[in-house]
Amino acid sequence: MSINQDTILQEIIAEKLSLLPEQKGESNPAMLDSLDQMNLSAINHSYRDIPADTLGEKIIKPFKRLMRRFTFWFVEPCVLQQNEYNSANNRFSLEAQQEIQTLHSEIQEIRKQNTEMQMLSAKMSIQLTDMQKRLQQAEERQTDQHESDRQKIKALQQAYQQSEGKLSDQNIMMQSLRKQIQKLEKLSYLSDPAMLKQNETDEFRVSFSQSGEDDIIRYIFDVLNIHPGKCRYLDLGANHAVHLSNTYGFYREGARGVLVDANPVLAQELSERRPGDIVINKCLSDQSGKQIKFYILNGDGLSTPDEAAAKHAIEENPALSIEKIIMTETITINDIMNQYFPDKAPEIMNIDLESMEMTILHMINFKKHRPLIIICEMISYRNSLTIGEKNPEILQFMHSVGYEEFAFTGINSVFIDKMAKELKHK
Amino acid sequence: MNIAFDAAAILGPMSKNRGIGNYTLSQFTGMINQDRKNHYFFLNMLEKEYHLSEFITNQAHFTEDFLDTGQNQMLMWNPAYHDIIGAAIRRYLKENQIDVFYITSPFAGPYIQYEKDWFEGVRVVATVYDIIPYVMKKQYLSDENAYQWYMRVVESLRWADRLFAISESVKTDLIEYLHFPEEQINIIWGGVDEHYQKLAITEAKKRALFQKFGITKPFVMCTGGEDGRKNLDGLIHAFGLLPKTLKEKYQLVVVCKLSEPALQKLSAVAKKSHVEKEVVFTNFVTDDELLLFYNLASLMAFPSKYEGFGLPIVEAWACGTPVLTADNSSLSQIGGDAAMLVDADSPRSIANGMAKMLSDPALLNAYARKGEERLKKYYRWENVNAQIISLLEKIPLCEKPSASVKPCIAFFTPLPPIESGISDYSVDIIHALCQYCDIDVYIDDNYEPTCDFPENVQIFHHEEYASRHKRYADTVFQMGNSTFHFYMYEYLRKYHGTLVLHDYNLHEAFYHLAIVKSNRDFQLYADLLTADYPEEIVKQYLDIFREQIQPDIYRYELNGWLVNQADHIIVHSQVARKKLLQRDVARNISVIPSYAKIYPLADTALCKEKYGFAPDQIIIAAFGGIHPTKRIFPILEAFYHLRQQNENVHLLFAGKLVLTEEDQALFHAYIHEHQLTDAVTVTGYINLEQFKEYIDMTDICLNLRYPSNGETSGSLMRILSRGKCVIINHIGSFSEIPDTICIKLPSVEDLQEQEADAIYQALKSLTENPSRRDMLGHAARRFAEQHLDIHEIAKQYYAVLTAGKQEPAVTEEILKIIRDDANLIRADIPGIAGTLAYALGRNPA
Repeated sequence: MSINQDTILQEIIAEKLSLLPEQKGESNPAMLDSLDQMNLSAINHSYRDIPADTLGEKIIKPFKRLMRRFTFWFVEPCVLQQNEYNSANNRFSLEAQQEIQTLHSEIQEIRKQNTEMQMLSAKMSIQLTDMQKRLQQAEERQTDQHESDRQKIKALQQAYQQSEGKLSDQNIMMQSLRKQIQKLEKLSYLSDPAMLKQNETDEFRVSFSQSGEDDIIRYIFDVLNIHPGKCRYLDLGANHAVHLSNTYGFYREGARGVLVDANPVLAQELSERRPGDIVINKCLSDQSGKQIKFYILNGDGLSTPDEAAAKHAIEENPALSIEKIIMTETITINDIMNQYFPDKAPEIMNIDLESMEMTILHMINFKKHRPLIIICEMISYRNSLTIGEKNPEILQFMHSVGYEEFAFTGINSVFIDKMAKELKHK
Repeated sequence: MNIAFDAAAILGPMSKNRGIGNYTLSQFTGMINQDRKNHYFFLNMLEKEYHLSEFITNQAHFTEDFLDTGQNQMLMWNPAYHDIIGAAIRRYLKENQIDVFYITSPFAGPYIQYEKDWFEGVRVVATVYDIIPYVMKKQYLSDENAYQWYMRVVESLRWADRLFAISESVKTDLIEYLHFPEEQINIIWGGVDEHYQKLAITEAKKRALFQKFGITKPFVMCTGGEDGRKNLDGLIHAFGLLPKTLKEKYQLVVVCKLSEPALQKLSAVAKKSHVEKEVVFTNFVTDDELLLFYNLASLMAFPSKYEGFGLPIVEAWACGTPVLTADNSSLSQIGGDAAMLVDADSPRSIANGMAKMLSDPALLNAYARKGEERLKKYYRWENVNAQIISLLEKIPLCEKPSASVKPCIAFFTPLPPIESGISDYSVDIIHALCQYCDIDVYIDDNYEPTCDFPENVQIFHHEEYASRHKRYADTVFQMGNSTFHFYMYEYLRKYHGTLVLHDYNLHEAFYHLAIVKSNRDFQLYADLLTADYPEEIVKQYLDIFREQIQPDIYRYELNGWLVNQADHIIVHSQVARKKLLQRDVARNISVIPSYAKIYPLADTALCKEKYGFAPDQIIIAAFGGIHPTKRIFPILEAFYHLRQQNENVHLLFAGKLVLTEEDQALFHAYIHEHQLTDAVTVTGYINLEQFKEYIDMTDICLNLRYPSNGETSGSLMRILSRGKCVIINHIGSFSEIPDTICIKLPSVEDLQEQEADAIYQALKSLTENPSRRDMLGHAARRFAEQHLDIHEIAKQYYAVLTAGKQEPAVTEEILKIIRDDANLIRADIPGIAGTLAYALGRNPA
């Protein structure tokens, strides 16, 4: 062999040749017929009998034979040669036809799969619409000012609490559907300002929280006669501006507050989507103004300064990975409180800090700063449904600083300040 | 002398295992096996599984190559691909320095139509077996297309240097009918295969043969075929005219394959001649049976009407059998006085000849003996081949072009004092390259170069190029991803030439040009992007970009705006070449590695002393501009851990800090907080001499990168050439450095947060193991000597710069045509791709 093959170029060309042609005609069954026709025509008719039935034919026959004799040894080699070529060509055409057929069936298979996928997706969307309707109905009832409806909501709330510890397959479905619904809503409501405006009239309201936390708070506000559009909030680990946000629902109604998230990408998004809020792109810690490492994960709301927590999340869900590690500045919770809520603590404090909750709660000077409602994540991250788990440490600690658990959503607990003056008024 | 021959005769469907195929097979296997002087190249484009080498005993003088044109030779049939085949053949001839190309069967079929200009500097010869179709054109070439084709082949024979006619009559016909000049033609005759020989046949074997084919008595044998030219009917008719005694004594055995109609026709002739009982049609027989027939026949009758070379005559002689043949064409010349010659057109004449021989056993014996003698004299392959070889050797070879005058090359590049790796690179390359050519260097405004060159290197301001460009054999543009190269853009785009692409991705420079320098010229930015990306993607990108004014440099790799203007592209790595080819296979790209100058090695301890380090201190160093993409933060972290265990290590950043304020603060904060102030040194900008000294005193070099613009690292080449052990990572062209000469960490993408740890582990193992460091260092030096020596690199440069411009035989358009060709079989794709890659004539190394 003297040919030195350029394998890189060869592979590139092979790849390009393997691409499907832009337009490939459907395989043509008539082609096989025409092949048969060609094979038939390859039969040599030179030796068929010359008819000699009539007198004329009998006279002509010797001439014809003579003609044939003269011509066929010139013609025959050509004919044979042509036949040989034809049959080789036909063989090749057959192969080509088979190749086309194989490709065709492959395409059919892919189309079939595609149809199945489409059907599945249609089914899903029907279920989605159904769920959406039911949810809207429930929410409409909830917005109703009548007492009876409140009772119903209370029942709903109780049902939530009861469901704690024994959530079934249906809940898994519910959760994933809820997420999808939220995505859908985010898409439809947020992309269409007209829709947004219409929604703002509060004909029906949606929950943006993971498990209806904002609705629970809304109920509390309602009972305590606090206007949800006038409350203030502090969202620690704000994460997404809208999606799964416990405070966005109130923001939409006019409430404002402070959002803290260490992830610069999320902080950027928070500033863009919630321009009315103050966004602090720092990491909560025991000391302000330090530079520490912050692990950014590719999963929603899981980024953390705690290396162990990041690793735990990855162990739980191998699809996760550390996207990058950045250096970020720290800030203490009390500095935030002193700076932004010097006179009165916010009505809502949301804490979602991926296993750092307890650390932060410990740091809060509860003597000075007492938010009316504290929402705190009570479970660590799992890639599956967490059942029968609730951080007893936090529960105990909250009791010790005078907070009562009002509701547990399976993920978060809603604590309420037992000593709040709003409660005493009642 | 290097002789290449094609496969048309041996493997062409019209000739394989038939007369012409067997003739050529015998000829070439014989020639190769007996020729100890010349080298033979068999260029097979027909059958992948065929190996001529199985017949060759003299392998040292034989090379066999296969170029895949598809199972059905789609690349050869279709005239659209004619130039591809031409380019492949041209490359084959050039690379193997072929002196003579031998067309074995010019009329083999509508395969390759050889073109004169494929054979520049190569002599072409062809065997002509006959021009029967032209002589009898009314029978064979009545079809206009067939005639046109035939005449095109005839025309292509006119520019052949020599035609080898296989017989006198073929030569005469060429002169008489087609007016070829006599001096262009040699007669080579032909030989008989050694298979044909006298056998001692047992009675049992004979009986078995007779029984199988229904032979009952002595016989006259004939062979031939259905072609009327073979005159089988005339012979049968003549047999019928024999005296009754002879008809009773002999049978006529027709030994050849016949179709059913032909058989019927000949049977009818026999019946009409009243010899149907005496005529036996064997139809297909094996080679061995054929041999038996030749041996057992009393007479071989071959009264053909026309033959280019009557092979059956010599085959019969080889088996000791007397021959009757016709007094026409080559038959009379081959037969000479050793065969009975008759008039093929007259059955009476044939019958007379047969009768004369068959009735006289002495005459039969005499003809058999004369035949054997004549065979030995003229028709043994060793004699024929010796004559062909001597004819080939007598052809005056083409003069190879002699070395011309020293060419002049234009060279666009930044030069020192411009602080760029490319400045230093160019200084060295120009020094090495100016041995082969004069060089005019064209530089940017506003600076005076601080380097010295030999006399035949002159420096010009770039504006002078326009008036001088015609004098250059080629113009070189040294291109990097920085603003230093802006001035050469317009010249490359207007005058083209050879582009040396140091950084694959030029997005940063392009961004600078359009957005910073041209004050947000979005149209220009769009143009720059459109050279590499489809318009809709460019539009999407620009929509986002307009809002943020933050370029996405690593995701959108750019270079097409310049690369598409270059006639020839030089890159330093296969990775870069591959990416360029993926965009367009027709691009003419050469890979020339970065160089290193090979100097004697220095003493590490002495160098350390010069800079105030203790000889036993382990110096770990990274070189060149200090930038986060060189992984300085993970390096710091790894070094910190290393130092916890081993106080005797020092980290050196040999180069200038190129950091944002923020990074700079982080960098110093880290050093300060971890008490590394005494253990880490940043040198600031250093000149080449210092650079070399710093490498020399280093024990462990670090050459990490992420992300990358696809650049090659001059520092890495220097490190390798200085025989140092180096830690690199898997990225772009670094991956092409053999694993045996360095420590190669996984890519940063794969390592993620384990990066610092991986660096730490590598450093730890190397600090603890001095012999491993030495081993890697030696291996690196050896590699540099073999592959990176600047004199080798300069030679490669020169070859590229003087190669001349060549139109690509395969383009993206042609690939589309082939891809959509109905004849393309999927299984053929790899093979055809190989041929297309070969036809592109690119040098993979």
